[in-house]
Amino acid sequence: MHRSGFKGFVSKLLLYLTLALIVFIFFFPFYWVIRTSLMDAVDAGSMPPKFFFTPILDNYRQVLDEADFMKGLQNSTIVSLLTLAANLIISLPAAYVIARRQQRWMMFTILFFQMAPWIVLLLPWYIIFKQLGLYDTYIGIVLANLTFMIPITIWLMLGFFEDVPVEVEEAAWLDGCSHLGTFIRIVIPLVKGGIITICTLGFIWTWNIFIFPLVLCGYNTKTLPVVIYGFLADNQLDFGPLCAAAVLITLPVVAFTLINQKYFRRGIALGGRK
Amino acid sequence: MPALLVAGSLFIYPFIRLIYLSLNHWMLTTRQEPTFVGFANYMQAFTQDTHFWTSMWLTFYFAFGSVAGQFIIGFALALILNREFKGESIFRTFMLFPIIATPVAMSLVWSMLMNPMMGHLNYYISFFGLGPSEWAANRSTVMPSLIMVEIWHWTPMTMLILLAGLKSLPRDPYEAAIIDGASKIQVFFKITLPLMQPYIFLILLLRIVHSMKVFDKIYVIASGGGPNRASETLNIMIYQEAFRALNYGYASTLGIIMLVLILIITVVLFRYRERSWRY
Repeated sequence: MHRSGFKGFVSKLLLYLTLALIVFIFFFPFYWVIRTSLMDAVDAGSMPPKFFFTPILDNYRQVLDEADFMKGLQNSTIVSLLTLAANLIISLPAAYVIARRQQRWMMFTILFFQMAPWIVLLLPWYIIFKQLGLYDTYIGIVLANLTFMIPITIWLMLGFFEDVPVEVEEAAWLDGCSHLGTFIRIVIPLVKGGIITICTLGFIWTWNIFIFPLVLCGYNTKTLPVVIYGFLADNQLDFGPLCAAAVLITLPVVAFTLINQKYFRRGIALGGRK
Repeated sequence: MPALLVAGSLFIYPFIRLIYLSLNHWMLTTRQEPTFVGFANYMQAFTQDTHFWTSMWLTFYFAFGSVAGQFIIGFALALILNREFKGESIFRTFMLFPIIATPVAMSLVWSMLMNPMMGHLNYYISFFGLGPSEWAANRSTVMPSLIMVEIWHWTPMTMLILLAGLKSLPRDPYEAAIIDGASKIQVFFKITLPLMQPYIFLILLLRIVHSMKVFDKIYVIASGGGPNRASETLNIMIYQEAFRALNYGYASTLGIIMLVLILIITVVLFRYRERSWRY
């Protein structure tokens, strides 16, 4: 299909105008939060909005000086890492076994897990965790995160494990490898891509989740989203520090995802396949 | 299978506990021990509690409103962008931002933007001759405001998935249609839509279920279902009943109702997947 030069030009122009508009709309809040985080209170409150101003870092300093914020950062990091590690140890073998056996009802259960409203589980968890002394502990919040992570991990890993030919494993057994040895040495390296995908999705999830720590974490283990929500309650109209906090909390997850972009995309694509 | 053990103990036991709780009257504020009341809580929800039906309506309003918006905008964008162009990968990177950014932080940003006094959104819409809106602070505008944020949040996701779908379509029918002289609109309705049907159906269902469970946005932007419960969806209502009113029994009942609703949707989804998606 050949287009005449002018028509091609117009269609290209339209395309790029659309692109610019889309990027503008979807990126505007990010532009706004970064800009406001670099302003002093006078600039941030000025109307009409200022486009040119002297950037300052005071807001960031203020947020980072906040003991609550540092504690939240530490908690978020610990919870994320623990969840990712525990998730791999538990889910990989399970996904492997299910992939080799093809159980339809398992698929349904997993799908339902994924769909279930978390708020419904939070109430019994809250009561049980209080009784068991797991309330406001890392173990409690990690367990809650795992309940979300395990089904989605199994779901995604099924596809990867099914792609591993059985012959490869049989060859390893014949060479005297144990089941566990085969799994760790042969199968796991073959599904590395899937593991990175899972870790990317898992990090986004555990870093961003708000409702679990809101209910299950008290003063000692509350993660960043809960901390930043507390900031909002404390200073409604002091936009600068709030924006700085918002930028700081979003930064790690954005950076991490952009590094692993390829894998995140694959995760989305697989999600669409459901 | 340790995974099943963990999942089982964290899912099935709480679930049984939930069912049991839903049959009890247990309010922490009254210092009364849990008492078995049978289906009284369910009766209360369906017949006495007027807000129950309101919240059901709000839940579906929010879910269908935001999913319709996401889908129409996302599909339109996917169709426009379904070709090769320079800067495609940069563009896609940009589109990931709303999806991955911490929802609480972004809700915070939106609530600042939508602040009736100091927010900049009112300033920008005044260019289009639109009056200052109170956004989430007004009963009549709070739901559309929240739906707007939800659409902003998830349209990129819908778009990316639909785009992947469009790219995977076979080329032959299109070439045949062009030879037969079909118009672009005909091609869209006769070829693209039917071929995309599995993608469309699944995305719609998944997004609807997801939107029914939205918590962060409503909690942060509309301060927990306000003003005056005008944005209190079922999800938020359960939270409020459970952790504000400490009305465990009734909250469990509402939880069960929500679970059943979503179970029905899941069954439909699964049936459909079974039928059309063997791989």
